[in-house]
Amino acid sequence: MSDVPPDALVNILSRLPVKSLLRCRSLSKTERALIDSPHFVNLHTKQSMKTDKLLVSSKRTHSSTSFRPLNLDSPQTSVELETPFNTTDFPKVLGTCHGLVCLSNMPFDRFIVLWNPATQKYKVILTPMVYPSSSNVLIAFNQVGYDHVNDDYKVVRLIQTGGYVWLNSMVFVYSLKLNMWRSVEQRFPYYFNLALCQGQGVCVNSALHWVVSKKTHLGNDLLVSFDLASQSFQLVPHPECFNSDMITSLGVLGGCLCVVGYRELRSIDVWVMGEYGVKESWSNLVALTPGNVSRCVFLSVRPITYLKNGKEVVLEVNQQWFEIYDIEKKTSRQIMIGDASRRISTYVYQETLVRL
Amino acid sequence: MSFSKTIMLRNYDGETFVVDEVVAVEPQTIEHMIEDGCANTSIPLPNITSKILSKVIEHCKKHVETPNSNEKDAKADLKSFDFDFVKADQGTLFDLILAVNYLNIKGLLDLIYQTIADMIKGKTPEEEEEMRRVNAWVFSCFVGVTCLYFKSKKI
Repeated sequence: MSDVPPDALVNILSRLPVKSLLRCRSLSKTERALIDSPHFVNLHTKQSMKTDKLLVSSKRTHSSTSFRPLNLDSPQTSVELETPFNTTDFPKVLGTCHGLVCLSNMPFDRFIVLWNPATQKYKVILTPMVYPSSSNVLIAFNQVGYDHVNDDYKVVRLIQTGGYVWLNSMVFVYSLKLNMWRSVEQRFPYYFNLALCQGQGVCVNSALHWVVSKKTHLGNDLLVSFDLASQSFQLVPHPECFNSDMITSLGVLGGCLCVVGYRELRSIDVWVMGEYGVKESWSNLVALTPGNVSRCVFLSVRPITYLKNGKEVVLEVNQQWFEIYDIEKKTSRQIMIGDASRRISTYVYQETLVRL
Repeated sequence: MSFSKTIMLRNYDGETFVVDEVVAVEPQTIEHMIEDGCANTSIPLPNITSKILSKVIEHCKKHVETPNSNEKDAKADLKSFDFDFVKADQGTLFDLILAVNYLNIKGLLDLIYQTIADMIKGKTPEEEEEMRRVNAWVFSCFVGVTCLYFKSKKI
């Protein structure tokens, strides 16, 4: 047996689901070394990212959060995922990144959990805290992202204290690789409009993005990014139309940053930035008008993922249902997922071997 | 009616296969050989048997002949061809891996790797164990060489 291509086994293994790999792993020392190697975990993660899976968290008021994978072809048939920790201890879902789900407790996200549902391992992280004097307000935002330069998963924590007129912002970054927090000396002179969006950041291009305003708590007109490798803030250009209109939320579609906003209060638009950082590459992907959407105009819309090779877009609306929007025909169909008593939140995730 | 150029491929068994150039350049290895001017007489492929080479040529031919359109029928036809193509025994599949890897035909390589992954995926632990036992020598070769590969890359 000469010239056996060593890439063959690695390539085949990288296509297997985590369940099979965890079994393979326990069969021999050599296979465990192979499957545990950072190079292989990376390869497997890249392979997993070729097909987006959906994870839906649903929460009834005063009860625990439950997670289930979602198959849009048969939305009612999915088995609830077991969580190795008590979800009532961590009721807030912050986001997902490559198969890691990030949750936190309230208030102020004092404790954060990173959970890999595929391997069922999790890690609890205590966050740095600053207690303001009683006259000051305190808000904290946290989000998880992947730094591809350092092959590291990071959690960014933004703490803002102060009154209406002045702001004091502090930034901390947690590295999973080093298992430690570092304070980052960076100016962040922006306001979050908490009435409009919950300040949830999204990770694109190894950077976390938020919608903020320079002027007051009422505006929502700037996109700010935090690069996880260089650990610095930058402004990202948004579509021209949102100079006067409001951006309500951010999302990621096909690896590209997208914004949702109300256009002159008569339609809900989703714009996608085809080429990162290039203002001209913003294009209008979705326009929902009250005619298409048979409910009221003021809806919270979150873009989730593409379907049918980019022909359709899945939008989560009001934490209750999906609008599946046909980009060419400009029509949409609805799939009910939650209901008035149960709020849902949908995340794109993959099954990966990422170690915690 | 123009004549298309043909290429001669001479393999391990000494057999010569005459193939249209447009099909012959599907494998990148052969494309490079032609560019480098090695294709004046016939291209030698001493490590590939007739059985495997004819299968590879069949696959290249089908994919070249199918128009690259988004038409549903064409795509479905190609998909069913690929589905039947990989219904070979494991020995043949592993021989195909060696040949296709040497010839550097990415699409076919992906298809074979995915097929083997699907074969492993669908098995119970007992069936997996059985499959591994039967192919133990292949797996042990793979694992041995792969570990040497990783060692040499210092991963």
